[in-house]
Amino acid sequence: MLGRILAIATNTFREAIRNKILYILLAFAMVLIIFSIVMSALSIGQDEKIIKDVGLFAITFFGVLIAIMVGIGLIYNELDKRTIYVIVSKPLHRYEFVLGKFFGLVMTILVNVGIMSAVYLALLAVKGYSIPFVLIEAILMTVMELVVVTALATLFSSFSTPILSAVYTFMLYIAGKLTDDLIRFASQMMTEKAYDPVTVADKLMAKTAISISWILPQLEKFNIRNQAVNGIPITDSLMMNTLYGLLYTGCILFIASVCFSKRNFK
Amino acid sequence: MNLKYRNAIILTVIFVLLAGVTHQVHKKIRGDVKDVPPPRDVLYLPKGDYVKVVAMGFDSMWADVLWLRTLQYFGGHFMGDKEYPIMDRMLEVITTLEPRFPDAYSFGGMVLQEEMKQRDKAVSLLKKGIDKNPDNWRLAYELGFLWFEEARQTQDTTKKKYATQQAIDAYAIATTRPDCPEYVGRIINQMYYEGGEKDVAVQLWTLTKEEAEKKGDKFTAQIAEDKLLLFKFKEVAEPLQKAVIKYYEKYKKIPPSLQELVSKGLINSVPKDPLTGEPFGYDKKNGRVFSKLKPQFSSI
Repeated sequence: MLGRILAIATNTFREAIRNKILYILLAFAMVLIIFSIVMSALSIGQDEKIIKDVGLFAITFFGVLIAIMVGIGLIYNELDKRTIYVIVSKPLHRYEFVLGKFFGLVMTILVNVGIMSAVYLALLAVKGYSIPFVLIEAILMTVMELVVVTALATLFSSFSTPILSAVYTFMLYIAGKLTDDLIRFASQMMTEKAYDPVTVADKLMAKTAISISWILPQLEKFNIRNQAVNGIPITDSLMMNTLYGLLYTGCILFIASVCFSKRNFK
Repeated sequence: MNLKYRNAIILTVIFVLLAGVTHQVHKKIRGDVKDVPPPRDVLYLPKGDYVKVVAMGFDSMWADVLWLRTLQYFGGHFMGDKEYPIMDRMLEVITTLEPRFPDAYSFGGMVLQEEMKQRDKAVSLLKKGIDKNPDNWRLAYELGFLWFEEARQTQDTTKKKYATQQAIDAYAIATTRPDCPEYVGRIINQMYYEGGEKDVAVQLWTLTKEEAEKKGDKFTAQIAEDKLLLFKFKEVAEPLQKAVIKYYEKYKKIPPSLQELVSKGLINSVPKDPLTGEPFGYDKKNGRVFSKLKPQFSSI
């Protein structure tokens, strides 16, 4: 089983690195990371912070774009090129195919983030700025965030067209970023105020918001970029957050596998 | 059992288990919803003109987002430290992004004047609203109300005269706007000729309360309700408090009870608290007469 998944993953990786979009996005990311030197030159005394902030932003932003842009076409391209018929006729489980595609894309993202991080860290080293371990942790947590986004892209790619998959994944990414606010909103609604007592409607809305927040990916749990740049102590357990990310990814991939298994290729 | 069903059951069980473990871990990292800290405080906001540049044409949408944030910001501080360091900036940005946002002006004016005691900022916000919303009578009416309250509360004759004139001018603007109710004209008449300061105030606060209730603005409705109760309280408590002061001036001591005022002939009988229908609260240490329903009300 592992061999088959690895074979699909390797192939997906090879295919992905031939994708021109990947190089365009990577080039943009590099330009932005290097351009942060110019931006920092315009600031007064905040150059280190600006370079660190912009670099982490570029890694995350372009990482998400790569995950979405490359991930959405994963399965559709096989259908488009009709290679899927050859694959499904082989002694290969459908879930192995989905997992292979997913891991192939994760490998692509790891390589890209690796290149961007190398440039970023090299830039910091050349400028003589400190590279605390928490900065590396921030990049690793970003990778975890990208893995979740990749799983979502794989899920939508398993039953939808590339454009719709991109829209769904992007929307879910935004919603995932706002999950913390959704929880806060629910908490506020359930707080008794002197001039605004909690009504049944408030409770209902709060419960609905909480229920939705359980389903959405809590992506802010993987965001420690601000703390890393500003040296703020991290109160969350990164291990637990990573475990959550992995389990959430597992659930999404499970659904993706089931969806893909139900598809009828005629 | 059919193989298809068996597989479906196995898959469901695996998924339920996986989702269950994920949920447990999620619960652990998230903690209790009730313990979630209030929304992150806004520490700094650039001027509206700068925010407009980065809004990239979605001015109205960002104004809405910031409006929700402003309400959260106000609510959080209202329940906590009652300090609102960037409230005026938030309102400035909202109204720059979306100049036709009457609620932002109305609510902002009320908060700046009543809660933050920053009359000048409240006036300039409402003036901006009047200027940017030429078909809206309510904002001019609210500015008039603000000046009217200012005139009513000040003891300085010159300031009172100035504030009254400002109120009349603002009400006059309101009457030139479409759909302005006829009662606004009546208010001007009352202020000009009848001088019935308290009656006008009661009338204005009653209207404010009704309008706020209609809109579902509980904060403003509560303020208006408190003002009306205060008028009711003061009407009875003020003469009583004056009698206590008179007693102190005459006997150089605070009366031990309100009944003492009757026995010394300063009042005929001790009135009941109009808010509760029961006797007033009385602090023997400082001679303060208060309502047990609203102990914060001051009669003088």
